[in-house]
Amino acid sequence: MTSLEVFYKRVLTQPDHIALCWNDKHYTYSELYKECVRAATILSSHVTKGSRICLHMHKSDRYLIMMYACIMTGIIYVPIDPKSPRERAHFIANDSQADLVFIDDKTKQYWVDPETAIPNVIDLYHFLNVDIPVADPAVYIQNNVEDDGLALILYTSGSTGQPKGVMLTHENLNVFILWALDYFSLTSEDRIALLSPFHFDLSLFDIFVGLGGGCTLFLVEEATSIMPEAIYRFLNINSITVIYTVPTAYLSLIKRSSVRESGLPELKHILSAGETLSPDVLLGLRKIAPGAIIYNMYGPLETNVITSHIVQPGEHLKSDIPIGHKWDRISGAKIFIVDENKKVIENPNTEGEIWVSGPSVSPGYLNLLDSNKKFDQSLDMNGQTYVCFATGDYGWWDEHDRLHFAGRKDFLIKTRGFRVELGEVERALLRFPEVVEAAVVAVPHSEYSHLLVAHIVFRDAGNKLELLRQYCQTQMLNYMNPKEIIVHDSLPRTSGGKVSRMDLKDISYQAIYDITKR
Amino acid sequence: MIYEHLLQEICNIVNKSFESNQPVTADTLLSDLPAYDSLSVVGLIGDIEEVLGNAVPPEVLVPETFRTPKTIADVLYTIQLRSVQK
Repeated sequence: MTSLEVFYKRVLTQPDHIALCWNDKHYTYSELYKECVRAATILSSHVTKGSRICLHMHKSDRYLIMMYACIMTGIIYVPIDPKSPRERAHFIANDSQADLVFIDDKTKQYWVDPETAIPNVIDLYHFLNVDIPVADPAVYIQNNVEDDGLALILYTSGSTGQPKGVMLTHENLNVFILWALDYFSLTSEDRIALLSPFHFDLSLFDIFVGLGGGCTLFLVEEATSIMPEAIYRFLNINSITVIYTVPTAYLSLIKRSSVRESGLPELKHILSAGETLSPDVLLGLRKIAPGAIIYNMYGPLETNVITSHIVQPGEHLKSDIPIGHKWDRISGAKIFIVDENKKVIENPNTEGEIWVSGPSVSPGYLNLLDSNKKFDQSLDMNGQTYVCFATGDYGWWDEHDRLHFAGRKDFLIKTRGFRVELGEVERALLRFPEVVEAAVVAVPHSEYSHLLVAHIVFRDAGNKLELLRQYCQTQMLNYMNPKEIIVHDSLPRTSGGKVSRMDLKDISYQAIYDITKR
Repeated sequence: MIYEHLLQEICNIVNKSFESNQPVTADTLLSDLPAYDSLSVVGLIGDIEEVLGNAVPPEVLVPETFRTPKTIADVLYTIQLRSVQK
């Protein structure tokens, strides 16, 4: 079964059930499918199978319809964060070799530059607003989209200073959807709040698993999704039963909305991923939704979610909550803990790097041959050789075969659920003409996982800090923006001449402490 | 605090919290500012609480309140009036 077939099955069995709600609009399964077919018909009259399109838009019903239209026609879609600065958005359109870029009213401003190298920028509203004869609804089910063909490319922070595109095939998507449909047993009674933006991998569950499960999807507007009280009201008013977001968002809901004990009685499934689920957040979730099953899920963007742990009573009293289980994993996936010599660690409670093999693993990063070596790690075990992705995450198995997370040992960090390579922030700072040195330190933070502190040296004396702050606001994504910028005459060095990150760490921790105390 | 002072104070706080490179007026749409996201909104709430010396009730932490500095000032002024009447 494919992502499209599970959706179409629901169209046939529950055509009049509400599939999608967006503000005052709603679509039944039959209506939504027809809209997808219509969009696919229009799209395929402009580009052919295997073409790539960028979607630089805010969340909407049309955006979701366009994603399905791409799946139907074998056209590869590339979502771009609608808040991306112009340079980043243009880089992604160029890097992905997009044939078309779809925009909306609000992102139009990023593409008006006559010097842009992207020729085909189209407002999606106008693109879909045409009368055409629509193809037979069943036609796209036999669309001969190959399993190993690309379905989408999701861009994430890259250590080279530019974002990198993670390629996901139809097979990657299909194995995840089929596993999730079986594992969560969603029904047509379930109502999913789609909180994540569409360029965020968490939304793949909401959309494809939600519609495959016959659920009703409720798209949450950006303005609502950043206001804890508004989210709480949205969940209540719409009797939401399934929610999937990052712990930062859960903490915000618990701490900064008026939700009280048992305030969300209808929630049945609470899914958490993207960051460490702390015992405090877990306890808070238990209080506001005592009837819900809480899932702590694990999997980097390159593998999608590969394992999950159903949180047990009393686990909030433990210092860390498992992220998965040897047996609760996507079919065909293998998870290994590997030591420095690339040998599998089988003993419990012994830390090593998490390696993953199986059909959900991405074929690699777009146009980055060197970085793709980590998708091609050979591992021998019990006479078999596995080709693995080395995640860079560290973890261990406990004596009950549960997987625990132990952090990372490189410069990839999480802030508010987003992955950030500190190198990308440093390189962005160095592009400011007056900055000659830059080092960025991530300080752990209870609410946002990490906050960033930038340490910089200006070329000449004189206060250019305000200009640099403005540059950061306009040239970097919000979550990559340093919370504090500290100007040095020169950066502290180790005896070997390298920047002393230990010294910067102390200064950074103090800076964040001062801000929090303010 | 009289309404005009409150409104000016909110404009100043928005300017600082969002590190805006354009002057913030009473009718500036917060969602148009580049820094508008969950972190900056939480920071803004903290700054408002610090300057005004009162906690902002969770019930008003909704998009309608945080549309513009004027809409924030309107809501906070109403809360202020209510507490004085009590």
